Amino acid sequence: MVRNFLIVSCRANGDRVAGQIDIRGVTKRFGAKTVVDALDLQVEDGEFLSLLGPSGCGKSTTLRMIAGLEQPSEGRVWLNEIDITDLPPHKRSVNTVFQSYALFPHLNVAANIAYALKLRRVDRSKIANQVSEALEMVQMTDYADHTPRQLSGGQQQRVALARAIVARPNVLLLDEPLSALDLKLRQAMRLELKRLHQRLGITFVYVTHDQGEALTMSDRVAVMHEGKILQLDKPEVLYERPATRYVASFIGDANLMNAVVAQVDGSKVTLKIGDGELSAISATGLATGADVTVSVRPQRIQLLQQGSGPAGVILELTYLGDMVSALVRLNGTDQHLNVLRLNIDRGHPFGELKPGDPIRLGWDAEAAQVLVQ
Amino acid sequence: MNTVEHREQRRLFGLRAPAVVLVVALYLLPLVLILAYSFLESGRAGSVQWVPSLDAYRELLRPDPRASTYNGYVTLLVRSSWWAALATLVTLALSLPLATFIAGRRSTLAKNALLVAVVIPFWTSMLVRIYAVRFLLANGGPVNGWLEALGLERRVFLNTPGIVFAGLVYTALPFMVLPLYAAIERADRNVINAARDLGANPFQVFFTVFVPLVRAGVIAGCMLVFVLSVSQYLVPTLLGGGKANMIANVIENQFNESQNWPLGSAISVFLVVFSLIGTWWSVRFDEETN
Amino acid sequence: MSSARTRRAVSGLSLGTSSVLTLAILYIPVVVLVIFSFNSARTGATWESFTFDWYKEIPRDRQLMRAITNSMWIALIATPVSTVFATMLALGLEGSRFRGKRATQQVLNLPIVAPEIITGVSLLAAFSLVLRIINDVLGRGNADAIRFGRPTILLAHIAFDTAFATLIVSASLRNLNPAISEASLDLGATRWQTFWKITLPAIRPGVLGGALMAFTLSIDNFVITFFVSGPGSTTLPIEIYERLSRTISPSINAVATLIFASSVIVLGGALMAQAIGSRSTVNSDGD
Repeated sequence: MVRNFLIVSCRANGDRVAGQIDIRGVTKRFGAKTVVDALDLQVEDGEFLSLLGPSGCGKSTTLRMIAGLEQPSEGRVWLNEIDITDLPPHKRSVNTVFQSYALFPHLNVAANIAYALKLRRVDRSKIANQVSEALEMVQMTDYADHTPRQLSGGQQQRVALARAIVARPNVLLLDEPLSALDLKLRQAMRLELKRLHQRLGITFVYVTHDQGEALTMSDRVAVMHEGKILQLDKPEVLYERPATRYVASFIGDANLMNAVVAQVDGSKVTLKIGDGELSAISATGLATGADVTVSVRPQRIQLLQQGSGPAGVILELTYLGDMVSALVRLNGTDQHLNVLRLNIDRGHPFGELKPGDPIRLGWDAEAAQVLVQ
Repeated sequence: MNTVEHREQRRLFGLRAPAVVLVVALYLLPLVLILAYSFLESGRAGSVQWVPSLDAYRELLRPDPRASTYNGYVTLLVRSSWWAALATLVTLALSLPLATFIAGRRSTLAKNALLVAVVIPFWTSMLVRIYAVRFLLANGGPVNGWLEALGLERRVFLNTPGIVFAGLVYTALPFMVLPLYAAIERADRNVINAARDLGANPFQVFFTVFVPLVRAGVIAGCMLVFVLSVSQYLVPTLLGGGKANMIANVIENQFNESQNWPLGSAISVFLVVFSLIGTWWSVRFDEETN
Repeated sequence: MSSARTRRAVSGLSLGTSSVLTLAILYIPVVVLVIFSFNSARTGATWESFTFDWYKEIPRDRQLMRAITNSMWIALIATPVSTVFATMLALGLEGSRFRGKRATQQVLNLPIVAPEIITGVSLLAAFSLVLRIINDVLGRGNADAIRFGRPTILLAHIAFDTAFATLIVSASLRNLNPAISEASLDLGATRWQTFWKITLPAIRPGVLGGALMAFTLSIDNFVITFFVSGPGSTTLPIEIYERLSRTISPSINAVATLIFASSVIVLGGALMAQAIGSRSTVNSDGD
């Protein structure tokens, strides 16, 4: 039975295969529910891109449509400029690491990894080499003879990883692979995944609801919500310059305040907040007098005795171990802000301030972002 | 749905098709045929004439003074259902302690051994099991021989309604124990322990906590056993010897000896309706006492 | 408190006693039958001496052997066919959504919930009608008409065997992580390869269990077979039944004992296979 195997395997520079994905206008409906809504996404060759969002935002469905396990209701999916939308998963040179690992229970570790190679009729001797290479990459060399049942969650996940990369796919898809692991293991695996990505050089598309994971590992992150991408940027940009309220509160902690535009000076705007004025950066053009929301990270807010910023009062100081948090109320509103300081030096991070003290807020202009919605 | 999804649905349809065709052709359509036959006239050399007629139902509902073994088909139907219902209750009473006992074993070995002990009769041919009872209680059988050896008189055990009833229970036991065991095993022990912890005595625990938890399994087991018992053929035949007939005997008689297929079909329709009522009633009972 | 402990002891004791009683009811008749199958006396009233004579008679009983052959022929064909149909059905049902799924499942439940007497007479009616039409079309008269026989029995058996086997295969399939077959497709296997290399080995206990159930149901079936068999296609249960209406020959006890013993052996084998099967693996060289 002759079967043409691997479609779509363009050789770019030398041995490495390219993995450039283009998702154009993809919509996915399940019955009356639209899970992915007119999505446009381009994943660059060799990058580590994360799809970040809460459950139900459509990130896993998007991943499955790249893998071919789901079909778009509308739109097309391209890999290296070839339309793969109608190709079944076994014809796509895209491999997935599943959330439940999905190791084949009746095969041992080596056989699980060798599966993809056997299907491609690779030479027996070459299979052995590639399997041990893959095992070494995930540090599971001693476990070749084990069965999945004998492995812990973390070990199974590594075998799943090895199984997916052994045939050098164009793209590796990872569907929340770390979600079932405990905290310490997750943190260790983040580094290993990053290292693996650098070593293999193939495109990684990673799905997670954990923003810490997304921010530490990715070249770029797409924040998804209700089937749409709200913002696609490098991690630092997402953190410093969130585009919307949702992104601001999803990534890290954000203090959101209502403000009125007092003055516009290019991308720097002066805002009237409460009874004071402070500056912020805006990505879009604004008109004076416009009502906006400004977002500032907790560790960038200064609590001053006096200044031009709005007045407030300290409600509580909470000791968090590595940090101390101050809960501040903005005068004349019931808006509460969270201010954080690292507990570095001896003595109180907030100096002499105590609950009940009046303060004035302050921050650097480039620490504050005006939000679109 | 695009082409790939279409292909997939077609593939799955193809996988289901043979079995569905088989069951529709050999179960659904024949049932419809029987329903149709009940409204036709009886043919001479067996089978039917394709002439519409309500004769079969009239015959069914008419008390028949000439028949010596039963007075009217309806009486027989009612009697069979009554026996089946009673047998279900007796079977339940016997099965519940056993199922609870097995579920309560702490040693896995004991539990598995007991389960195997229950499964063996379940797997054994019903014919063999019923014949064993007949052999045991026959006039020239071991029990009578044992009675004689004790100086007592031989007794007639077989060919009475009593032994048929006992036979129904005996046949149904394995079919009740297993679903009951499954339901008890699945019951959340924490709820029972919580009730005991809060001070309920064993009776209160049983009725207010245990029974509701296993009710689904009990209903399922009873439904199964009722339908099995009401439609029993071998038990009344082998143990009743014609003196304690049930519906299945009459149906068989009409199709084989008497060659009145429409009447046999009409009685079959009634049997199906009775079974459906029985299952509907038990589901209703479950919902009402919820 | 001693009254609570005595109460518990009493309830425990009555539970145990009642359980023993139930088990006794279940086993005494068959155990007595087995014992008396070795009794050289012709009636069961007295015990004469231990003998294998009734067993030795079995191979010499031509009619009985023919019945056994018929039963085996039917069971050995019905089992693989129904197992294949059941596996296909399970694959086509589990985890797939389609319009009319509920209705289909109700229909597929019919062989399991329908009383055997009803199935028997309805198949009698249906086969009679169909055979009459076929014979008319083929112009076969009384002499060479196609009658009830092994093929009609076989059809009926395949139908109910498939329904029951599907229960077992489906249960096995439901326990399987669906991501596993997705992983196989994802790694480059076609649906067909995925089935053979991944799904089937994973559900093998279920498939074997289904086959076992089908075989046992076929061998033991009486009521349905009774209505769809014809002259010359007597199966073992029918043969036993017919002999019961004549004088009881003690060799029936021997046959019954053998049937009982074989179901115990088969059940034991199945349980052992299940215990072993849950510990087997295949390494990368074996496939």
